[in-house]
Amino acid sequence: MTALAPTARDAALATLGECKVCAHRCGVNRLAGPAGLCGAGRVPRVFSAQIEVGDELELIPAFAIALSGCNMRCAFCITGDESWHATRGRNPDTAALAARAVHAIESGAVKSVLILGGEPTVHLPWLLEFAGLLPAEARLVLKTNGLSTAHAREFLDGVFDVWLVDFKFGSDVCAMELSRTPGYRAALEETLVWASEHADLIVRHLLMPGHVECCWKPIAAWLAQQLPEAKVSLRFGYWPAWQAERIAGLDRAITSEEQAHTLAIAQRFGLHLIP
Amino acid sequence: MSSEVVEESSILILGDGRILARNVTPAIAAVLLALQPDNAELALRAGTSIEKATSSSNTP
Repeated sequence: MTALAPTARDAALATLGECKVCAHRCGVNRLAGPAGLCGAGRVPRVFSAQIEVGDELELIPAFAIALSGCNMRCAFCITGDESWHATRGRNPDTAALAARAVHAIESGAVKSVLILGGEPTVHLPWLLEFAGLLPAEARLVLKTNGLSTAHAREFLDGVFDVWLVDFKFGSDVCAMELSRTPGYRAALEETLVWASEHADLIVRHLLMPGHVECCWKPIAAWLAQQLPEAKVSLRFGYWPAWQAERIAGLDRAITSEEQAHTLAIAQRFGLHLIP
Repeated sequence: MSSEVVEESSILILGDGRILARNVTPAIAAVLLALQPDNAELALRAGTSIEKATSSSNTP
């Protein structure tokens, strides 16, 4: 999107000495080594890099790059091992990875380059370095859990064309029980409003079994009131993964009744659903 | 990291016949489309039209 000066990456790297890139604001020194709730150091590890077609239709095919390490602890995480352990995957050859992405773009194989995790924003300096290696016309997508701080977003402003934000939980109670994340809603709302003003925003919600009323309904109500024009992507492909079985009710896929109820709520609130 | 990484996807087939997938590559989308040739959204993901998918599924 925007050509970046190398100084942006260096400035972001320096802030890892007292890390406040996410809402946990650990203040740990990640320059000295992996630290904090995410367990990430100064450079991410990559556990997947391939062309994918499972995301929103307007984004695919996408060259998807998945970075290990996350600042949430979702029991149901589909990439739990890599997300909970920042040491999984391989050290990236950033230039080679960027070359693959550029080739995919220039050959017409992909519409966009999608960076995901784990949680990519915890790897802020690398994001800036990688983005700086892509042509300005590349459509760059950040798939994030939305826990970034204003400090991190200031660096990311103008870097990503699309912010694909996972709005996972409608209540802080569920956020704590399912992902051990305090202060979830406030952090999410702040990021969503910012993203709607600074990029093309897509709000994604993965419906979880038994969480229509407590999670989806308040999310839908908030979006209708605060971001009525936002593109909303409902995902119904939940399956029990990682440690889901330790949470009551998460050990099954969603039912057709839950899916129908979810769509009815979306329609009632007049949300702008996208496939 | 090697610039050549093995592609990886996962598929879960539920007892009621529903098929769930993650990290869907174009090749996996083609496989899924062969199982559900009338699925128009899947056809888009597989990079083909529903007419083409139906036609090819009828090819001897």
